[in-house]
Amino acid sequence: MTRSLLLLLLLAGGLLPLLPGRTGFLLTVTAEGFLFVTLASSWDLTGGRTGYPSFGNMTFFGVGAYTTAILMNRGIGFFPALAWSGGAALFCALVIGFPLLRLRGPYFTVSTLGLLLATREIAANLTITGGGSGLTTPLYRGSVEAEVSFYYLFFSLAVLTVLASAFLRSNRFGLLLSAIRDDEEKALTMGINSTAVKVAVWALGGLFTGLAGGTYAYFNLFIDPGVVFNLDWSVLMVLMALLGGAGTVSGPVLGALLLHGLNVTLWSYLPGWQYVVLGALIVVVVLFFPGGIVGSLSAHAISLTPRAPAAR
Amino acid sequence: MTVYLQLFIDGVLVGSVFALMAVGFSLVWGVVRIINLTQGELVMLGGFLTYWVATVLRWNPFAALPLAAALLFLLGYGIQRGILNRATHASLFMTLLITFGLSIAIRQLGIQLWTANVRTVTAPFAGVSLQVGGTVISVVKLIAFGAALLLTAATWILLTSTRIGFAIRATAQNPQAAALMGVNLSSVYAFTFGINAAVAGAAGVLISMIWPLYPHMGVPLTIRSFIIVILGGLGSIPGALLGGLTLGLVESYGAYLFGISLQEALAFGLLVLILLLRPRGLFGWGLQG
Repeated sequence: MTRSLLLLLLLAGGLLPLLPGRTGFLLTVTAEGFLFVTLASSWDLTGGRTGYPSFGNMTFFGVGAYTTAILMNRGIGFFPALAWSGGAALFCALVIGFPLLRLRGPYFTVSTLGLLLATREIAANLTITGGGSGLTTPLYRGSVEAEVSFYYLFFSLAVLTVLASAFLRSNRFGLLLSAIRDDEEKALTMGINSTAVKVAVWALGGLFTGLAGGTYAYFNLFIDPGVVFNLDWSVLMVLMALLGGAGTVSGPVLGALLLHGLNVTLWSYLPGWQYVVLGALIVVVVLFFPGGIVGSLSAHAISLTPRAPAAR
Repeated sequence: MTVYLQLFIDGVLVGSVFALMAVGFSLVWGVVRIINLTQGELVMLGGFLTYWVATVLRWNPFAALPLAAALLFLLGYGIQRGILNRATHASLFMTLLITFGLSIAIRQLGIQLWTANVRTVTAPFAGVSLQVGGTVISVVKLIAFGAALLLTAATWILLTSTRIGFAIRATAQNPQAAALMGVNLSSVYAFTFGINAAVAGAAGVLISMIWPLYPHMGVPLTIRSFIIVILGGLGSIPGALLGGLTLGLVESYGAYLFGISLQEALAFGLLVLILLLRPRGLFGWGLQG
């Protein structure tokens, strides 16, 4: 059922710009929705599938965004700059992954939060990044064509991420991830080099997140440390994956689109309060729907809250 | 040479306030098994209360200490009773996420209510300092140091020689056994979180007199609390004190050597290093042993 839902979304997403009477607002909001699909699905590769939930994925978004902005300001075209963004994010994820992914449980999670704070601070203090005042990217002509191009860019990136996520469900590498999530000690005993597997999947997520960051830098025309190393987005993507159903292919997609829709609605009617609502929503989802939407519908979803043996 | 002595003094003075902030964080982690990501926001609320006491009521900012402790105790007790007690069966990550959600909500509420502007509290003796052997010691920091040590000691006494303290420590050692002995776990958890919030609020009062205040100040303070507990060992108050002083010293010397603007990056580097090299903490103490 979820597969047909995804195909339906693919069709609707691909055809949306062709609809008559499309408005710029709807198109931009949907494009951002696909940006969040990329972020949530990338997060889920390590967070849901492998059982290493991170609060620091926006690090790769920031690295990607700054790489594109810096290179474009030096006269390099968007697509080569974007390729470098992906490479830079991938490289960062590999370098940081080796020490960080040796940590387990909450030690990993809180350290990733520290990672995000640290990279944001570094970006705010280098000269090449423009420090705290940020960077602008070259202007594109604000036309319908540009809008549609960005829409398809974000859309393809989301499709690519979800395809990778679906591919990892079925092959051997995906099984390694599940093995690590379910019992890492046993996986180690079976001869799995768990650190290498974890770093590889974390780097894959970092690649997609970095590409999203690079596209966002051009799309948004301006970046600064607070915008791209965004603390609120780093937890927003986690909530999206959980709301939809962590550890599934379609969960993060549904969660991202739904929550982004909610966020935009709140932004329009209650500006400034959307993060108060977001905070409250996190509490509600975790307490009452820990399996997410897909988790409530199917048995494929994994639960991040194993019931402890009765405490009292 | 005096420079290094001066850095040492500053590090110890600020570190003591860090330690106070981390004492409750360590307690909640050890007893309630929750890594409380709202810690920095509790400190922030204590700071803003001081700002109001000093600018609206025009009282001495130190008068905010009992007020912040009392109000934040109620808030903390309420958070644990109303929300976190419902999640005691959930995984540590889920409680991390809930407290992160609460921290976002509190921070954003702060921005909505008080704007994102930076505020400062002018403490009495703000400009006064002592000169000892070529070093300059700010009197406000010295008072904050004394207050932080006293409050840390008070928490220690509360835990080691009162009835509720026994209940809290029993729960930390073995919740099931404590429950069988008639300890009401929900109320011990709520009380523990309340104590944590009260102590964090008091730390916020002290911090407001030495640092500027703004709604976003919380997250780096939460990460600091985490680092301090990693350094000192889980659930140990002397450990939190030593961890806090160590972090204060590292930040003080780090700021001198690498520049003040890379404090968070430095703290993160320290965190990863400690976790990889000494996962049981520098001192290897803890309530759980």
